[in-house]
Amino acid sequence: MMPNLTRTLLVAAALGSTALAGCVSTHDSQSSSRESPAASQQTAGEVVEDGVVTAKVKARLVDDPVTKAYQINVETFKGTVQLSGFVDSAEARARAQQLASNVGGVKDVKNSLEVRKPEG
Amino acid sequence: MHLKALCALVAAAFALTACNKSETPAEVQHDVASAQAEAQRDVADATADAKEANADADKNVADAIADNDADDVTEQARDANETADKGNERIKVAKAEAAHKVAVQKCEALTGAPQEECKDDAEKTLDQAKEAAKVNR
Repeated sequence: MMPNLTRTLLVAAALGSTALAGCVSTHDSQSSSRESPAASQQTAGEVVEDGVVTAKVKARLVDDPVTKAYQINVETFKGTVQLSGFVDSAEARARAQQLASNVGGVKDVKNSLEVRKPEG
Repeated sequence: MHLKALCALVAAAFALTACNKSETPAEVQHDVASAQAEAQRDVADATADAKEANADADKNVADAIADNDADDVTEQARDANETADKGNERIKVAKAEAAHKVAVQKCEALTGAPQEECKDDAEKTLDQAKEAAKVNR
């Protein structure tokens, strides 16, 4: 009787610990698999906000007498605005950065604009 | 007729004297504290109004994007920028007016010409700050 009870308890304990370990490993694998994409994925709300920021930055660049002459690409990811394309002066590059920085919702500006002097 | 003019002159002189009277330090301290509290409320109101207006304007941009209407997106984005500019200007003006209210109350500790000069300086500072707020829009 006693050995049977002991065996039953041992089996139950083993099953319990396996189940717990399973839970932990499942949780760990989920959290680790979630962590890396989180930095590069956006929520729907963030996508909308980034779209709004992009639109406002583009409007600023198009309305400004200095930057309106250039085709400047604007991309926004989680509030960080990236400017790219070509301008023909350092002033225009700096002006574009300043305009983008002052737009509401912009957390940071990565200025990838290249200064290329017109030939001739 | 002469009597009336004389009375008016005397009354004006009394009024002017009363205007330039200095307040006691306790009165000044009380009025400055009241002005500071009122000023803080004004700035907080202007900030809250601007935040609300910006949120509404941003929503209009988001709606235009959702509608896939490129022209409307540009127009709404321009409006949103304009709204943000106006809000920033109002906040700057509210801050300048807040500082002005406090400065004027501090002038009350003075008397006569120094008090007038103090108030004139406060007015000039306010005007300059308002102009700067417009220019920086």
